[in-house]
Amino acid sequence: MSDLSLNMLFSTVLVFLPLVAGFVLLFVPNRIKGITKTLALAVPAACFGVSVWLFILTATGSFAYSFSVLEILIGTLKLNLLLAAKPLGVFMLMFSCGFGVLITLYSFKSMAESKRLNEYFGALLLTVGGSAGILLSENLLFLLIFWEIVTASLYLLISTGGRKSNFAATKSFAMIGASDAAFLLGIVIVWTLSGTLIISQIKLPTDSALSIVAFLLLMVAAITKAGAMPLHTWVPTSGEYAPASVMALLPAAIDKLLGIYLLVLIVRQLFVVNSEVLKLVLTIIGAGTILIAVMIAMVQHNLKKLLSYHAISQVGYMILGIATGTAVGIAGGVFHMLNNAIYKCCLFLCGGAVEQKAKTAELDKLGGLAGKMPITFITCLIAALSISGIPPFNGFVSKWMVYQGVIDMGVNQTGITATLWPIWLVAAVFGSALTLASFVKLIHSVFLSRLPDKLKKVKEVSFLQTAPMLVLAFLCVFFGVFYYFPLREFIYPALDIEFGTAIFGTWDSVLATAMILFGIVLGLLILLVGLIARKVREVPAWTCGEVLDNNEMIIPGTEFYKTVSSMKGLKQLYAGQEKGYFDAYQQAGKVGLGLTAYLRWLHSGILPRYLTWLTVGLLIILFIICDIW
Amino acid sequence: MMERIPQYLFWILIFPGFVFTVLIGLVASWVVRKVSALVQWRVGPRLYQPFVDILKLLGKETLVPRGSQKALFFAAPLIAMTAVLLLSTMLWRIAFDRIDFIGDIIVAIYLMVLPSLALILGSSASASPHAAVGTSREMKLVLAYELPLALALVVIVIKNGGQLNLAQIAQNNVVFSISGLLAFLVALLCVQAKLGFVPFDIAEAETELAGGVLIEYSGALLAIWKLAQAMMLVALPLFLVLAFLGGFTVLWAGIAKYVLILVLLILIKNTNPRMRIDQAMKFFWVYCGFALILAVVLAGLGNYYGIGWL
Repeated sequence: MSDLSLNMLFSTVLVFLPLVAGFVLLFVPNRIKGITKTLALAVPAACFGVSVWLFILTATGSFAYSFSVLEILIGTLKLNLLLAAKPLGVFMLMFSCGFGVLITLYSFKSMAESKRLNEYFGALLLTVGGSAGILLSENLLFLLIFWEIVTASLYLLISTGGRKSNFAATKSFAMIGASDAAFLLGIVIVWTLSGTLIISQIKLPTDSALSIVAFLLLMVAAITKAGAMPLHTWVPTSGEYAPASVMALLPAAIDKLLGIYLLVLIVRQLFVVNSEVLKLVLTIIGAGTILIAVMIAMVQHNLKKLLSYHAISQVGYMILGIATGTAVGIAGGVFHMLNNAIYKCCLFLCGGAVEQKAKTAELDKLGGLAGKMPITFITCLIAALSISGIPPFNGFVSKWMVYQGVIDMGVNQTGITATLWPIWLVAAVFGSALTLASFVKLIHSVFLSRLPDKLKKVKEVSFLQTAPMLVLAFLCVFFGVFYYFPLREFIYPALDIEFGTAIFGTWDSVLATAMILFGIVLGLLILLVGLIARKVREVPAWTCGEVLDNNEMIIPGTEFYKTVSSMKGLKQLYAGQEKGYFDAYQQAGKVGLGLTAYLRWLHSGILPRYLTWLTVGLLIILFIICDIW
Repeated sequence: MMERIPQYLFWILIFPGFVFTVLIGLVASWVVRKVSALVQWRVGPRLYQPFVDILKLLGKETLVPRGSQKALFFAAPLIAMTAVLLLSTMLWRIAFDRIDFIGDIIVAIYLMVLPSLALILGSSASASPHAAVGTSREMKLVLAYELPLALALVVIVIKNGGQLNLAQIAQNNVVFSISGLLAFLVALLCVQAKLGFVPFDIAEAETELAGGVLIEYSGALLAIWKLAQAMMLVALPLFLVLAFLGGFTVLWAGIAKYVLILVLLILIKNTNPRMRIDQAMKFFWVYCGFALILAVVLAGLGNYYGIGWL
């Protein structure tokens, strides 16, 4: 095929086809389900296939995709929608389309009872197309427009979750929308400083106040989308009310990809971060997010809310890794983004499956589901071990790389951020232990412990739902054991790092896994000896002679960490958090209410007072215009 | 890779893997029991007692609690044993050959969490309220000692100039400095807690939880748990020897270092009553935490000004 037709094909299929199809689906009547489902599956599948093709073409260097779709001239301002393949964008695009396919498959069953199916799948397609636009766009302004499409479709998607989800959708839209305003302002400043909107032509040093402000504004947009503290609160609120598949698609997977994509873009492409303050700010956000979010996650009682706080906490590792500015740290941060998208998506899907079958997501009411939902349990366990950074799964590798990045920064760089490296390292390592604790609680309360009488009839979800989970769990294992494969194929080319130069630690994961397998065989043999010698017998659990019925014997995991949450000092913080003192949305809401109250007070309805205001204002304007002083 | 498989098999099966580690581990567990007995004015068991115990357990009936998650209940001890096996093979190879093998110090610290995690999952799967309380305590104990352990890791890394390679770290005697000594002592207490020795046997707590995490285990499964624990008695002190005490430069010196750590562990075990879980958390987070923050600051200053003994 000629280059032009290839260019047209990629632009059409990856960006415009899902956008148009999604827009059409929004208005298709709900009775026509056949077309909806066909389109909803065919379009992301086509996108995925084409994005893989584009990735291979770009990676082998046989074709450089770059296409100017349209040019607009407004006065002297030339806007052109330039789409181009960047190594970083292309590999993320492949994964975001992949997530789109998996979530669509899952949603066929999980959303079957929804009354707004067309709207749901329409918004899902808009998300896929919008994120393709973001990842391919070379023009900052069009990047923002695609960014807004994803924000708007997130609003639609969250609001399909039933009555209470409207509040969550509004909150998410308000917070991300506000950060998008910051994005716009940041773009304007960047444009003023550099005179262009084409990403590859911008390289601003962060030495003037204006460029630092621009950096911070763009950073706010990136970390709000990714869900880092202190602008994270939309994630847990929507986590509680939105459908699990929506959480799995956006806050867990695609929003992370997009947020971290933008962050990498501004740190490595748009700006030269030579300001120590910016580095410190990023590092504190990273380390603080890891620790604080996981501390809150530990005491949650709702399955989906707990997962949401972990979605926040994990962003900390990515930001910390990128903030170190070392090759291994940045690679680790981006790899962690990929890994997090995989296991967090899997966890939300498992959570959704449990909620769908047990009709509740409250940890107190669940238990003992491992036997009833074996596939959900196994995939959830693998994803939980991955997120807790247990070797040999994928989360361990990327965390390990981030740790190395922090150590590398501490040893080889100067400045206050580098000198304080022990703090960042301890926050990251300890955060990983807290994550493990939180997931032990989850696994115990949902899958182990004892089966409550009410859940005796629960069954495993259908294959359409378990298949995506199995794929994701397989990726968790594969990317963990053969970690050099994603690093060599995806991460290093995207960041322009030479293979084999970044990592300075040792982790022979293949040999270790082989030895683990061998050890398990050995253990099985020992077990076999014992089992041949004497038979296995089933007995009631020993309760020291007391007669208890089943429900009395259930100890839910929600009580596990009372010791922590009632510690001196932590107790007050938890109480404050519970009341929303640290929620930027609530605090901004209070300020807004105060402001309107003040305006209302001014609006007294007394005519003479209005006249006085008018006269005073007029006088002031006159004074200024006429330059009286 | 393929032609090296027999060698890897030998390493993991015979030496320095399973057979060797289990042998040393059971002898070490005999030492623990014998010395404890002597401290308590008893005669104590004979040398072959731990071996006989394992054999006897293998011949006993395996009871499975009703309503438990059987697959995980059976898998947990296997996972624990495998993890310790991997860890001890890796550490022994590093100690004897002084080259890198499998993982660095961060990997070692993460592998050390695996046995505790397996214990937690196994007890959580056993459908018993006693075990559930034990699960919660074991997890909190892990949380408690992970913080000082992370700080101790920082001290080691500072003292070795950013080096993560355990074989390289084993060339240095980190303990011969104020910060190194502090870190070593706290890490020793962490190992005490990892082994589940008094005063940190909170999760098993025979007198109140009747075995807690292990309450439902019996027969062959319990035998595997005991093997895993015996192997931990080798691997964890070995880690301390490598990380703090300069490794196995000379064989007898290495053995002496290992025995020294074992004796210290036994002494702590026999001279302290069991803590409550909240006391243990406070102990590790507040007291050990502060001691190690001081150690990190001292190590950083020492590194900056080039003073080795800080």
